[in-house]
Amino acid sequence: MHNFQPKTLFLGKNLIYLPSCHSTNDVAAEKIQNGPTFDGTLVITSDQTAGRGQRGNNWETLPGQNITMSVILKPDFLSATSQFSLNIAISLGVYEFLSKYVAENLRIKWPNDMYIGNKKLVGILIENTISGSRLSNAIVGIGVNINQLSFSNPKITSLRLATQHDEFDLEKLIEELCVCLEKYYLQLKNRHAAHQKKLYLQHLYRFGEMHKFSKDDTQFSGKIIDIADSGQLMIEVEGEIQYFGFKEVAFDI
Amino acid sequence: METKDIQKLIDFIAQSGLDEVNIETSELKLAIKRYSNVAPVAVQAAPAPAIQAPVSAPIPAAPVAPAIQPAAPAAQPAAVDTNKLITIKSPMIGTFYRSAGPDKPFFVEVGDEISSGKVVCIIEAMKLFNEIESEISGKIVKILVENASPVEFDQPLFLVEP
Repeated sequence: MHNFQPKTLFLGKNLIYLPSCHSTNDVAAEKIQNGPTFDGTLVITSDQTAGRGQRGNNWETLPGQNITMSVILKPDFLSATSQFSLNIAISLGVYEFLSKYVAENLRIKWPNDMYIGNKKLVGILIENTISGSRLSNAIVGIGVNINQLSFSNPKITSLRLATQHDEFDLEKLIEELCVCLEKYYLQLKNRHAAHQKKLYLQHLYRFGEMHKFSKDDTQFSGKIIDIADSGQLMIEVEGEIQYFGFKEVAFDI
Repeated sequence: METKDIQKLIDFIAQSGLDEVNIETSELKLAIKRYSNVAPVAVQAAPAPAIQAPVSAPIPAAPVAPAIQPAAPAAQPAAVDTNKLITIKSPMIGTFYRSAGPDKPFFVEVGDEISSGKVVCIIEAMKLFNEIESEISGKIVKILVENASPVEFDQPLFLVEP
């Protein structure tokens, strides 16, 4: 990471590069605890040994082949109840970054996974600090599979696998990702949350189509029609709108 | 209210660690009290699913809340004045976690002195993890929600004696 110079205003201007670390989100959290940090500070590692996903899950990645990074943001303009709009902005940033290379079938799977067809290539883990009713710090962990060519899990892919592209220049890609993330973050800061939600819905996996879902092992057919302010998925089932939290609903084939 | 409903309600209160509950509606007036000498044990054993009222028990949240006594009156050196307690509430809908991970220690326990800025819990909302910092300093008197259970916006989480 010697010539890392993203064309941004602030995001990624302050860089913490670690050849190896357990989790970039944990490193970012330690930095915040140990004193003031700059908005947009970027933590990057080439070898993340204990990446975390959803509570208790792991994010596995081979050294030097993929993007494993965390961004420290200070979204103090957001209230705790509207924190899902940060998730939307980040998802859109990652989506735009990928869409330059992926021609079709790129979808955001609610709340923030990124899929090409039915294979996942991005994991996002956002950890906020809330003081009173407002957000103070946000740590946005992003893992994007880039050059890795084999995965033990058949439902996982990489940008190179999915696009049949030559080996990517990771440093250049991270610069591009920073530009996209900053664009949507600043847009959110400028109160374009409603517009961003529309875009998010446009790119949302299974939006507006009849599909099978299940809750507590009971299968039903329904159509995703919207996302609530809280981030809950709104599915129309037999003419009635139902709200689902994360893990309360499964996407069936 | 039918007999079985009252039975359900008593069971619920018995498990809740509450010492005394008074409920008054247009239809009925109900006062339930437990022997205070057994309360501390019950409270320690079952950390109040109080607010997680099962849907089956038709208890409006409001009448229950004011009835919440300091966790274990007998265990406190001096009876705590309930009026002075400050409630830390959930800033959002989500899932309440008392630790950073399944194998991590709890952020706070009953009796802990906390200062402003101390992380007291995590609320997970749609896969976003939110560390909730206390805005006040004081002693945790009661933890009102069980680990890993769902919470609503504005639901009381902790009672703190400033």
